[in-house]
Amino acid sequence: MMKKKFMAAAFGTMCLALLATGCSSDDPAAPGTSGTTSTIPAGPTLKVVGSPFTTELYGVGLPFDSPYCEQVNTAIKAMIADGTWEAKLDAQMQGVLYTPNAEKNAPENLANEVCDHTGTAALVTSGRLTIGIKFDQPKLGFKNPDGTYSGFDVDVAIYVANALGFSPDKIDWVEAPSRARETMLENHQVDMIFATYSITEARKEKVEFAGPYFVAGQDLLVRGDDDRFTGPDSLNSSDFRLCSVTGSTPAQKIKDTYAKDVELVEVTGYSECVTALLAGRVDAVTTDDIILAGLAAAGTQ
Amino acid sequence: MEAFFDYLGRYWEFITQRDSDGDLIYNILGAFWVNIQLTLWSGLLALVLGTVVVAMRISPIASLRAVATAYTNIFRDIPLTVVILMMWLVVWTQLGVTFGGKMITDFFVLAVIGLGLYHGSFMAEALRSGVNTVPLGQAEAARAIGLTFMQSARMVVLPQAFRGAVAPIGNTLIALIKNTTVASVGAVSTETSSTMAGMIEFGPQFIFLIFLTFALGYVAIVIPVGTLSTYLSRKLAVKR
Repeated sequence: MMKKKFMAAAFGTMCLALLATGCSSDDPAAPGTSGTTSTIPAGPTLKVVGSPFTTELYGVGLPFDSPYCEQVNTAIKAMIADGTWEAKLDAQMQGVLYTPNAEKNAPENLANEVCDHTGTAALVTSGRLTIGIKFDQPKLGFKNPDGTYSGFDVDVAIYVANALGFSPDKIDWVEAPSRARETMLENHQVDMIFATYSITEARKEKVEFAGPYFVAGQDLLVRGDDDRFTGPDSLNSSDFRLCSVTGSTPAQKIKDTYAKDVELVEVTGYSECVTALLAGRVDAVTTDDIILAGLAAAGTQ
Repeated sequence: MEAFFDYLGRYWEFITQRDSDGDLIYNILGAFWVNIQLTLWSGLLALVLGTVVVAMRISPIASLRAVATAYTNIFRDIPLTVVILMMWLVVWTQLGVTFGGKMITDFFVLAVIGLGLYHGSFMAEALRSGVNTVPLGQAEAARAIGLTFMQSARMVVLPQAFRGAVAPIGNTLIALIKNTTVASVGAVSTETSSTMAGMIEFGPQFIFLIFLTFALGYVAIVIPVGTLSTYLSRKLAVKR
């Protein structure tokens, strides 16, 4: 009895470790799409519910003295115009049928950030472009076990770099964790950052933003067989447990605005939240929809 | 100069922001209080564990000595982050251990247990160094006048060992105070390093002042502890 439970626990952990490469589960497949509540229809284990209830503009972070701001905007516009943007997004989110909010992601809303600063800063490594990405967000910015990098942030970065005259073999990828991003740009440790980097006024005091190249919004990730939640307001009870990352915008937002009573658990990474969700210890995980879709896609492939 | 004071003023506004209920958004003093509570409870646990373990290590029973040595070596050698993460990811998430009531209580208790287990091994080593200051002749004399092992440990060896181990115990306690920030990986999100992470996320323009605030906070806590342990180690030392 005890052993069986432990085995199940061990399997759950292994499943997490295999998120990137996919993992199968003995659980009966839950209904994928439940029409009304699901904008991002589910795989068997996890689904994203509700329609995004915030607006996060993902920008390209640049140092103030970077010469590239205008060129990055031009490149993003070109990527949208020639259909690469949509094709890459579809390819990443294959299997979750993820459709981003079309209105918010209309071409006129993207790459319209005004470049306030310009300069002639030298590249970190001469002749090469050093780009900061996330290493731990499946389908966005992810370091694969074989040492290659994949995800939508990476796709956009490769396209932009190409437009600036850097082929993929001339790119150095560097991990840019959330709380280090401004410092890395200010200290010229990276030339630019594509890392689910929301454009905010506070950050604009320290860095320059090009973009946005994607408009995300906060949403909820729940287990595939769980139909109790329709949006942030349905979480407002002390019986429910919500998981997010320590000190992140989403955690603060939902607690302040939507669900004051929900019990919030804050941990160091979203993959840990997913482990707790799969183990049934929390009811929902919250952050931007595309990050959740990435976690769901990685978990259900 | 004026610009600097203006900057300080904006930082003050940032750290004294309140939410719609009138609560501080970044409760820095409250965060330090959480770390102090973690220190007190896990320090107590570590001291109790350390005393039991050191008694086992000097006992005449080989199997007890082996268990105590194994505990010390295992927990001293695992990184604290791994111990705390195990408490959260394995004990709470997967095994479903709970202490009733709110999750925040679970995380606090598990973090205290993790910190206590880890620092218990260091406390045991600190106390063992104290035991080594007691001349072997005293233990032999205690046994010679008919005291049992427990009696000689309780009345002769350990009281002197504690007095000889004040300085290393103080060092372990100081390490523990600072290590309580690792509780953030165990989902204790009200403590200082989590609060600091949130402040950096929302106030990247104040990054140096934020670091300075927390660094000074820890210095203010640790200096008295260090001074006290130095004073006590002199005052309580057994004159031989």
